[in-house]
Amino acid sequence: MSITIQQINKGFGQFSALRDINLQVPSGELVALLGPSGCGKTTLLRIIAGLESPDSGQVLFDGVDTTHRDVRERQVGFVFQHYALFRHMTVFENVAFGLRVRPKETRPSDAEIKKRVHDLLKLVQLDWLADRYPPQLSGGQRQRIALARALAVEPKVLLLDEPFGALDAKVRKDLRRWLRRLHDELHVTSVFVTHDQEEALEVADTIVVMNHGQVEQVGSPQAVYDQPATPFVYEFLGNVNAFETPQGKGFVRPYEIAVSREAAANSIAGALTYVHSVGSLVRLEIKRTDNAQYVDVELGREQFNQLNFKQGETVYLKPTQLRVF
Amino acid sequence: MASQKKKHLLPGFGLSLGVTLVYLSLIVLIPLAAVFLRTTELSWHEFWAVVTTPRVVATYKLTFGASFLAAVINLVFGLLTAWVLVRYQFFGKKVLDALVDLPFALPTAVAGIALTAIYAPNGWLGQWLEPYGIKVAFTPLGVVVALTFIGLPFVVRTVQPVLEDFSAEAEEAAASLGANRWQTFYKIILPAIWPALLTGFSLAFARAVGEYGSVIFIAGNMPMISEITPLMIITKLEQYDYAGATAIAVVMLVISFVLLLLINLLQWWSNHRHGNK
Amino acid sequence: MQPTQFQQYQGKVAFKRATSEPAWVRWGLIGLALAFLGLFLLIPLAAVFTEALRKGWGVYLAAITEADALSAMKLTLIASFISVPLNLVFGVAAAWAITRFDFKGKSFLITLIDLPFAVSPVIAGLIFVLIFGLQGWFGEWLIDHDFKVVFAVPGIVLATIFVTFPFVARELIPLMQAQGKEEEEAALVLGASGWKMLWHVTLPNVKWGLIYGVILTNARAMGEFGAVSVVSGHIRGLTNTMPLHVEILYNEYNYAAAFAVASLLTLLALVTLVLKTYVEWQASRDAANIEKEVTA
Repeated sequence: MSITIQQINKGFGQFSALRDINLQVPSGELVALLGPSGCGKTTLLRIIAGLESPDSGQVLFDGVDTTHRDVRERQVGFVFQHYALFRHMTVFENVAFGLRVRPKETRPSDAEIKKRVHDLLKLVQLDWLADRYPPQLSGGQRQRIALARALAVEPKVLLLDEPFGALDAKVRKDLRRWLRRLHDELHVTSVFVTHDQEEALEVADTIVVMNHGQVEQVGSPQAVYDQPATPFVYEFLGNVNAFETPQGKGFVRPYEIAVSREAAANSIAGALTYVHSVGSLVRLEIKRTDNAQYVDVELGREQFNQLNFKQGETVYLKPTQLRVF
Repeated sequence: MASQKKKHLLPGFGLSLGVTLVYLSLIVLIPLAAVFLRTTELSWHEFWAVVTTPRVVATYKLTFGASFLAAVINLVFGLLTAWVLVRYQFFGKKVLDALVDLPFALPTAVAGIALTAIYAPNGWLGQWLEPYGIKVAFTPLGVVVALTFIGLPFVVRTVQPVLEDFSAEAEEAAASLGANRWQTFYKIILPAIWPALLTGFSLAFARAVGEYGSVIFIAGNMPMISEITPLMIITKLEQYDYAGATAIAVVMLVISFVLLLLINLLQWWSNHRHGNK
Repeated sequence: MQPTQFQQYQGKVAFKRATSEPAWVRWGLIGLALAFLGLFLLIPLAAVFTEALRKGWGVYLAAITEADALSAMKLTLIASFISVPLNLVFGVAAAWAITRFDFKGKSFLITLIDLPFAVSPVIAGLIFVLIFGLQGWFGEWLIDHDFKVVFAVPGIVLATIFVTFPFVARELIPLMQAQGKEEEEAALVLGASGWKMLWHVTLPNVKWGLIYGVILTNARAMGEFGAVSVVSGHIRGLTNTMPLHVEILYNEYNYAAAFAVASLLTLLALVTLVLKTYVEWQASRDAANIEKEVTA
């Protein structure tokens, strides 16, 4: 099911949370809403779910206006940031809840519910936890149960609010990959909110970068990383050096700078203050002679070994790519 | 669009607020308003005359004086009890901790007759105090004892959680900076629990001011000496002096509301402080 | 939070090193506190039972099985059976409105709910006399229709409802505030109706707070004296509750009987305390689990 957002506005008192949001999520895609906290991404997700109603604008599912449809009728699966598992129900009952609360006419039989729940628990590889209670599970397990519970109602759209936010680094990485694979398997249109650029870049088909209640850029991970549309996207995604140029503010990624011992036209002089060489990349910290600002440069290890810079040495920098706004 | 803004996701706003307001009005607000409306049957002059007769003024003095004294006793011993229950281990601690709430759970009339039996001149403790000329039952001192009993849980229960949450780090920091135990208590712990102490004190005081059941048995109820204000209201009612009873009730209500306001301010203040930390 | 053994151990060592009093201070303070609690809690408790049994079991049993005592028990139970469910429904409704929605005057509403705590029980009785009594607003109308409120059971029930009004709401509001509304939203997204959400998610989550509130409401309802005393008229066998029956017996110098009935009320209070402790223990266990859930 595709999702279309048209001219959505939403305010909380004086604060304008979303301004003129337009967005198209094609059917079957995995989309990330990426931005700093307070940028409105969670509000947008909750409006799509029907947990919040917009002040103006429309939400369309497959071209049908669902703005005023109740959350219960939207057939969305929502995974809450802290999972919101029902703490007094077993894992099995949590996953079965959406089926059990259906009106009698459409409620599956007990046997059917049992089968469905166990299938889902197998899908998230936690069938063996069916009789446990949420407080007895680890964070990663809760996350997967929350997902199974959301999937139990066979949603047309899956919405996830900071799905990995509350997990530690190692679990987060594993779950990220797992979610990607699961999406490839199920192909249900999915939107997730995150403030972690790495997460968005690794998992999503499309990234929507948001700031101050507005959409800054929509594009594939590669597009938003390599061709940022605005200074905000540049600074938010990946490391970047900012330069004042006569034409305006210029942005250069650390790996888009050539370093040499010889001065050239338009090159910038600086002192190499620090060399950080762990892993395949070597990171140089250079203090500019003219304005004492620091510039980050990344070199391949091989290249660095050839040039063999020493700390304290004067070097000359020249951007190989510069985007000016 | 206005209707969209008012739309709530969770159901039942109208129903739950409606039930709340109707029930609140029927049980509490309208009946309380009746007291104020009935006083308007008296002229201001008559009202003032009723609420300032010497016998009534004597009850104010006893009610507020004894309540204050009882609250002070509870402030000191409530803090002590909370401290001992939180900080130390000893046999029977859990039982005592549960028993602290006895004055909440025990019907006040039972408390009244039990305390009277203990402090009457021939009672368990009264017979030992009598030779020293100390009379508790049927004197204002008895009123203080009864009010101390019913106000006992308040300070303990407001201070206890704050003491439990108090970080050992702050105390360790104070100790590492050279403070001795008393200085640490006085300068570090006491300021932190002060709002809770004050809240507990005012709750105990407010409860004591309105108390009736536990006091009337032990007080002896002698006019000008050991009569409390709530008893005055009942006395007037028994003489079918509705206007008089109502006038005194209004005085008490106004004082109680001011106390309630103060307690809310205190709690707001302590939450605020807590939030700032 | 349930500290692990290791944390407990560590805590104790730190406690001893920097933040503990000398033993004599410690035992002095414990002694003082015990003396205070003994004087004000244990001795009165002991006095009730000793006085009740002073004239032996025969008198005791006679006092609590006598007709007037039985009818007083019945009335006490009636008052509690009516006021507890009503205040329970009100408490849930009030807590739902206050913790799940934003509206103007919310904190004022919370203050109003607390109001009965600040009102002397005597005044709580008086207000119903003023409205329904002989000289009250509805006094004549009630006489014409031969319906008694004051000096009758309805007045006793009304006064009891008034004094126990805030208990359930007071327990639920902070609890539901702390729990947030995410689980209820999850239930709705999964298609639950409002009532199903209330029944399957909200109420189970506040179970202990609810029971706690009911226990407190019931204890106060059964033990209320001042308010009920004003509206009852003390008609033996008709409008006497147990606390009022105690008073009458006491004023007739029938001490053994008075204390016998009082001992039943005291047992009720002790049962209340045991239940309360059990519920607190259960609730803190659940809270510890939730804490784990958040931090894990």
